[in-house]
Amino acid sequence: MNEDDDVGISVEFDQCTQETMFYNSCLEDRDEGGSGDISRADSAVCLTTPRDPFPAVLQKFNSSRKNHQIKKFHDSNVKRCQEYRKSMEHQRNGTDSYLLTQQRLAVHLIDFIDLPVKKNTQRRICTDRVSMPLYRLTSGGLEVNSDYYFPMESPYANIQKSYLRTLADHLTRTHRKLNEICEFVERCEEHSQLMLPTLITVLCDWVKQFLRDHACHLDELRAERLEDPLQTLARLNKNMEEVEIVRAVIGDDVGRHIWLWEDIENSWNRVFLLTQMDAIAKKRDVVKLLQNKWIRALLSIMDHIFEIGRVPAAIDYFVLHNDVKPDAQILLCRDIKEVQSLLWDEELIEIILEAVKCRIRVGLIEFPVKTFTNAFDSLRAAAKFTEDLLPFDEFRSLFFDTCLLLQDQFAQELLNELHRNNRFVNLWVDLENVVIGSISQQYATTVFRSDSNVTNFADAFWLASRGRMSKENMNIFSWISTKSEFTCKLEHMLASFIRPEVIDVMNQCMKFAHSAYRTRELLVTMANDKELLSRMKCPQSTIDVSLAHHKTNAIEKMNRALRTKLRFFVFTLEQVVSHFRELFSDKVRYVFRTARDQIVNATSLKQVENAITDGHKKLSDLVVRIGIRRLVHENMDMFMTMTDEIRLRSVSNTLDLDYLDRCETSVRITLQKLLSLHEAWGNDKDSIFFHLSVRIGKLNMGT
Amino acid sequence: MSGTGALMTVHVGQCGNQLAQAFWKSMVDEHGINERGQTTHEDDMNDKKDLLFYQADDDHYVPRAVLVDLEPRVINGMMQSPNFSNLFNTDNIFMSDHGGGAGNNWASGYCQGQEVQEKIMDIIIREAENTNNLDGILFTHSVSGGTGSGTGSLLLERLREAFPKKVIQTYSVFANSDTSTDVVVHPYNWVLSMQRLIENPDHVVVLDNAALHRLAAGKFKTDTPTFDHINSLVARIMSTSTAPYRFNSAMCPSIRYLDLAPFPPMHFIQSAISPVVDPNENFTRKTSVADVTRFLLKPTSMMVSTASRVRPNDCMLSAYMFLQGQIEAHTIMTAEQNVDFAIRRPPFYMLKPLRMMHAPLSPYVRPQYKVSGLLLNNSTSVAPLFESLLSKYDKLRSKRAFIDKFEKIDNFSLDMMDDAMHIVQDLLDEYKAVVQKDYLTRGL
Repeated sequence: MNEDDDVGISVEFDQCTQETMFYNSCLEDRDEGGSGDISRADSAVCLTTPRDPFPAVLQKFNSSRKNHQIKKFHDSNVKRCQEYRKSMEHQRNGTDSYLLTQQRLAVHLIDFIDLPVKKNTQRRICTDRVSMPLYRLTSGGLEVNSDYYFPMESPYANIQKSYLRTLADHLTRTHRKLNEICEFVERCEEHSQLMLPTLITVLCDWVKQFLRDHACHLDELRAERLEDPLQTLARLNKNMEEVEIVRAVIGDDVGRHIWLWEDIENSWNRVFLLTQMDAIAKKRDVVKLLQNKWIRALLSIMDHIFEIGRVPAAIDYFVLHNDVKPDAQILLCRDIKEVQSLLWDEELIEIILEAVKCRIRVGLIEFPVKTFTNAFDSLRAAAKFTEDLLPFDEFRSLFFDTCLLLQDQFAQELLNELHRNNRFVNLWVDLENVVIGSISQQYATTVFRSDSNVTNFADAFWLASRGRMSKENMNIFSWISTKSEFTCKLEHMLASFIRPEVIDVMNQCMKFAHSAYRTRELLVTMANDKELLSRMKCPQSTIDVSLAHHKTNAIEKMNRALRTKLRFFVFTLEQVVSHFRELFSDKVRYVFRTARDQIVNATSLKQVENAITDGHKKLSDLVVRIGIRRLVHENMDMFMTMTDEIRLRSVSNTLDLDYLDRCETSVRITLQKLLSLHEAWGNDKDSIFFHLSVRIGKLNMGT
Repeated sequence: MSGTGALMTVHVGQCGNQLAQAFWKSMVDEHGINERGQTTHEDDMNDKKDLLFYQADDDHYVPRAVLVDLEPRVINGMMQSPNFSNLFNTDNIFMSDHGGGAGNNWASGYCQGQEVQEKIMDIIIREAENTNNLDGILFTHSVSGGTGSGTGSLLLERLREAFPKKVIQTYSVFANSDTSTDVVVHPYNWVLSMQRLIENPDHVVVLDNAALHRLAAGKFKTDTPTFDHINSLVARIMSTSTAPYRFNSAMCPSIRYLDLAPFPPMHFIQSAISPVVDPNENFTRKTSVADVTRFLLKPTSMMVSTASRVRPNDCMLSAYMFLQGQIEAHTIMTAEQNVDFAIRRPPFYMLKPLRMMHAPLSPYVRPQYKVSGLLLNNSTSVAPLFESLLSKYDKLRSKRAFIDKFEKIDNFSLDMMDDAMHIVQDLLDEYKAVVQKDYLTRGL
């Protein structure tokens, strides 16, 4: 043993237990083949140290690190090792241990930017530290332990104080940052793993690994027994820079206990920025390590999102989040305007949501196959990046392209699924038939005709559908008699396109068509009811008795006039209602057919969705009672009420000429008002009023 | 459970049954049914075969038609033809036992009809009861002969009595009024038939032999058009006028919706079709909606010889124009806008009486024309035909010419003839009145 060297081990430990823990913790850092770094010198039994040049090294490693089995030390070796330690401790506690040499000073400098003694002990077994260090950082700043001294013959003896301080000044900042980093790790470890945001877990893991590597590197440096403190400082530069980087990445998270999603986004931004700064990034392995970790973490989240359509349950602090409703499948996005995210923007979020929507509609991927990761990796491979480290710009571009690729892929899958066997178009055509086509017509004919004996409207609807609807859709439509509406139990994928609100509007259109049909049917029944017309008489109360006495057959003439007028008014009103119904049906049919053509010819999912949205809007416009449409609907209501009233009066024999005249006048005024709108609108040939004016011809306003 | 409405056809007399041949030939083609009543195509959703056919137990289609004649020649000929021998229900055929016919005498046909009416009505009622919802009856006959006019008149009375709420639409062939005819007593037959046509049916499609011949001679490149030529024209009118009900039109889904007669008994409908081309000739015209519409609205296009007697105050009371073929909705709209000025309507009318619609075509038959059309026109311009026929009647009646042929028939009295004449005269008065401003309030 060299008498000049310090000796001593500060921590007593159960060597084998510690060794097992050490290896277990290091396993994850190695590659699967076990070809990782095996040159680490922090084994429990690697007792070589500048402080302890003697005894001789028992062995450099426990065994080959490629074989991960833990070897048991021979008892004699362990006993001998413990004896040495006792001897070292004894020696260190002596006054000689405060004697400074250049070699010892170099080790003290290394100690100063080593991990604090009681930190991170699980990973670092043998710290080889003295209990009274030369340098300490207190609230007052750097403190040099005055117990240490250079021998009198040393050239530094006279300048000892300033010399020691000057050397350590460079390391003060790093020491402080390192302490903060360690505090961050400690703070993270106070939380359960599940409670920590993913990114913070990733960061913490990375920091721990960094600390391990940092400590390991310092141990190796110590083992070199550098004799020049200045050279030592130069060798420490790289470590110092890395500490700076790590600390910068941790940023504000260092003292945080509770994270909001905005905090996490800021953390992400720091991580991203790290790889954006080429100068730092390109030469730092530590950055590569972090990048690998966060890319995998992010891709894993994206895998989940792109396969299951949901953010993983544990990921609470992500830019996307799940709807809180238990059965909801909707993915929601936070307000990204609140944070200046480097990765997320509206376009990207829209792409992701779109892709997820498609995925959910086509069907979830139940058995994860790393869809996103694989797509990302293949794009990355295709891009042929030679650098190990992916600059953030490149990463974002790849990430964006992956989202886009998968969105297109899912959309195409969905489109193919929609077009398979014309299932969507068939459904659309069936809907048209139910709303305004042959099924609606047949149902109305069956239910509303005067001799109808329908008691079960659901059966009537089913019978109307039979033979007029595609076979695969026969069982999905049903009739709600209480509401006089149809419902449609669509399978998951189709239901996502034809939403309940679309069905609602279709029902409103159908109801309007049915009401118009009913009114027309009532009028047609009156027109064909020859018995009713022939027995029609003016009510006694309306007959002018004096006139009846003066003129022969006056009452008979009045009755005849009533019949003629009624028949003619029924003819006129039926014509008006028929025109209204026809115009409405034409519009609805046009909307359906336009949408159908667009769907058939759609080459992208967007086109299908646009067609449906557009169709929905146009159908809504037709039934909404706002503005000018309200007037049209109210007029139609008036015609319907008028028909009911005339029918009621005619069967109860209370219909009189005056009432018919009033009805006729109000029909004339109504039509005139509608036609004046046509002129007011500049004779627009697309307007319903133009069509009405053509159908009814030049309106005769009478005298 | 109520369902789609159905139509029944009743064909009476030689003419009526000849029209039946042409009509049903066209129907089986248009509905994709072969001569054995089996479908030849996969069913189309819009094809309402049930309107005119019913399905027998073995699922083959049988026309819902009743054939009536007092002489067997035409029906027998029909049943021997390969086209129809296995198509019709033989139980729906009535032929008189003696087979002598009515001898072109309305009174004979009417009185013979009285003897057999129950049998015939049994057939018709049975057929109607086999149908869920009978909307109406199409009736083909001639009004100048014996069976079609006499027995036909009786059947019309009975049909109205049996089916007061059903639509009865007749396709009535009126005798050639301008040239000599083989039926010298046709004015008598006509006037007697007219009374029943005024009182019973809802619509009478007037098929004037003279106009049909004129049209056929003009279009079919022949001086002597055959019955086949004429019947093919009538079949086309019948086919097109029923197309909306047979192939699911929303605007006119049933014959009940065909409101052609707002002022009964002015329900005499003139018809016109376009284009009319000899099937043996090459068709070189390019049809369009405007072209077809223009042609249909010309007085000379009507299949009633009244063009030369057009009166300035003639009005359209109600009309339907069915346009078929490859038609864009806006072309109908344009045509409709253009014809508005050409239509004269009674002064008290609020709306235009003409309704133009796109009528569906058979999904199984390739249309001969790109655009074709039919006009069913209830106009006061039909009155001159009646005036002309009435004057012929008056001429004969004043001379009592051939009156003995009627007098010798039991159960017939000349009062019937005079009553009929008065009723026709009243109809003519109505046609005059309806063009007046105060028609709706007259007498008040």
